Amino acid sequence: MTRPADAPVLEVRDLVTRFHTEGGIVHAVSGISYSLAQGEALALVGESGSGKTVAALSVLGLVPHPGVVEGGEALLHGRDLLDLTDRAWRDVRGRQVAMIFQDPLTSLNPVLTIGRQMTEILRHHLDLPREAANRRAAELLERVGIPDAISRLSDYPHQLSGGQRQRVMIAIALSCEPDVLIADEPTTALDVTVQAQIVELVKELRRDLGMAVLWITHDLALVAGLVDRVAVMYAGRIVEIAPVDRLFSQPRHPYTRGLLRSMPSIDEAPGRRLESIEGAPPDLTQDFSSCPFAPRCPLAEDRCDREIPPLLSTGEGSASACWFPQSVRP
Amino acid sequence: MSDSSRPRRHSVWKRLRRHRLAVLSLVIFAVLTIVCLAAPLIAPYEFDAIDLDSVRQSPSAAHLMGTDDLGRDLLTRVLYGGRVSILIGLLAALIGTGLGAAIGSVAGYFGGRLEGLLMRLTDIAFAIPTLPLLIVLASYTQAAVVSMALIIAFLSWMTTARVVRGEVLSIKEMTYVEAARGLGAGHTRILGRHILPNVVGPILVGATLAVGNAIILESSLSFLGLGVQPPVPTWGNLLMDAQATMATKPWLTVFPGLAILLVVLAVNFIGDGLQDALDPTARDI
Repeated sequence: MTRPADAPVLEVRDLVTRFHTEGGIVHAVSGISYSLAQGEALALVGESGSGKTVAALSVLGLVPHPGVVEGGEALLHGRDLLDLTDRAWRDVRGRQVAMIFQDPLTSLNPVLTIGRQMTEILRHHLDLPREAANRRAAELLERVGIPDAISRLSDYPHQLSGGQRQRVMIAIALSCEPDVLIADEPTTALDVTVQAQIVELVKELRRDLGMAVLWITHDLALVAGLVDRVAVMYAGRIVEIAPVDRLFSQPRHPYTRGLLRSMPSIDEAPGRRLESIEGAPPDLTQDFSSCPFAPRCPLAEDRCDREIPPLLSTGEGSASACWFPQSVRP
Repeated sequence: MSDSSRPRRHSVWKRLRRHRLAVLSLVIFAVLTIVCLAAPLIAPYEFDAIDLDSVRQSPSAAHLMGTDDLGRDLLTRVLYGGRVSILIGLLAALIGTGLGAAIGSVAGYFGGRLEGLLMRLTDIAFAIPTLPLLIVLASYTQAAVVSMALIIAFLSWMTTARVVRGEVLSIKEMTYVEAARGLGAGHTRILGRHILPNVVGPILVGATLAVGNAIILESSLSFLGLGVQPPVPTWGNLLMDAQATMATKPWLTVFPGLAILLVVLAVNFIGDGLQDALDPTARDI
């Protein structure tokens, strides 16, 4: 089977992930679809509990118990990851799809040296001998901007700052030059200046290595300069997906508009109150048969309470899951 | 910079050296072990040389630790006894702790039915009354050092198993374990490379305590006539022999007791020092 050159690297179709808890079934991800072209960066944006992290973990087969991926496909170069055996998964993880986690302070093993943790993946996936793995690890550390890389290899994580640790995590994730990098809020635990540095680093690496990036965040402003497209998630669904500029200039979904209005901006009049979205986040133990956002939506009408709006194209690469997509500026 | 793991070993040794008590204990333990091993060369008498002319003598120049009911030199017997006791102690601790760590980590890591099975097994092992089991086991085995060590190990792995399981349960939820999985590590690699190094402390402490317990358990076995058979001495059976005369001839109790105390204390301090030295987050002073 030959694949066209512009075929997506990763294509997720109708992904459904549920958690079978004692309190009932939690519908964490309810049929989301997206694709990543080679070298493209997509942000999955949503509030806590919107299913964005589970959506990413599902693609790596890392959904924690009692979560189960119950439907859909995740095609990496046309091969469905969700059918893989454990062994095949292990060859994909870290090598073709790598992940950076939220908290750099806890994602490095405190009792192993940086060098041990970096060379492990190199020796495992690429079969590099010890010497070569050490050299490569030092190169990678330098690449992510850690000075004095060689002597850093024998350091323990606690001897590094938070930002440096996240750089090490990025270096580890990059070590096998994966096709897709999944970053799960990698800057949340860092302070603002370090956040900007990390975003800049990923941007630069993405450009140099041509890898696709899936960046999960709740911070729309952070990803504005980093990604090509943004998918906004609500209640386990993508409610709007659009090129980043278009999403900011012409948000179609009332939830996206609400999110944008709740962002502080440097242009606005001082003293203006930030708006918030009325109501509470949805209860995911129910299986929605109406628009999940309807109870909080200022524009909801009868139809919203009867039918779930499908994700429909609104032109120019955008799509919105709303019966009444808006076309005017918020 | 050819080996990223070398600096660690180096710094463990460096940190251990700063732990004075551990170093002193290491020296004491090494000296005791060497002296006991060299007993045939340095002991002043034969360990079973009976001298009925000089029974129950208190310590003197000829008999530094005195003599027992049969006129045997106690120093000689303590030296010979140490060979057996230290060997059994170390061997039993090694086997027991290894077994406990293996069972505990597998149970904690994999969870589910396997965990249920292994932990119920542990409960059962805990619940079995030691004495009848010992008698049954000992009647099927010869009282050799290895079989003694095995019996003691099978009676003492459960605490380690429980402690290790608990530690593994909490460590497997850490982000770095998830991160390792996300980078393609399999179960063996995660358990061996990422989880167990974090449990070394508790395992080590368990092992050092087990050395002392094994030496003491061996003495109970000897007392029941199920341990190493007289006339071969062990610290345990020396102590047991001395029980009846503890008040009148205290040296028979004091010296073997002191030997046990020294070894157990030394091993515990070594374990303590090692635990600190192995923790990379401990401050380099």
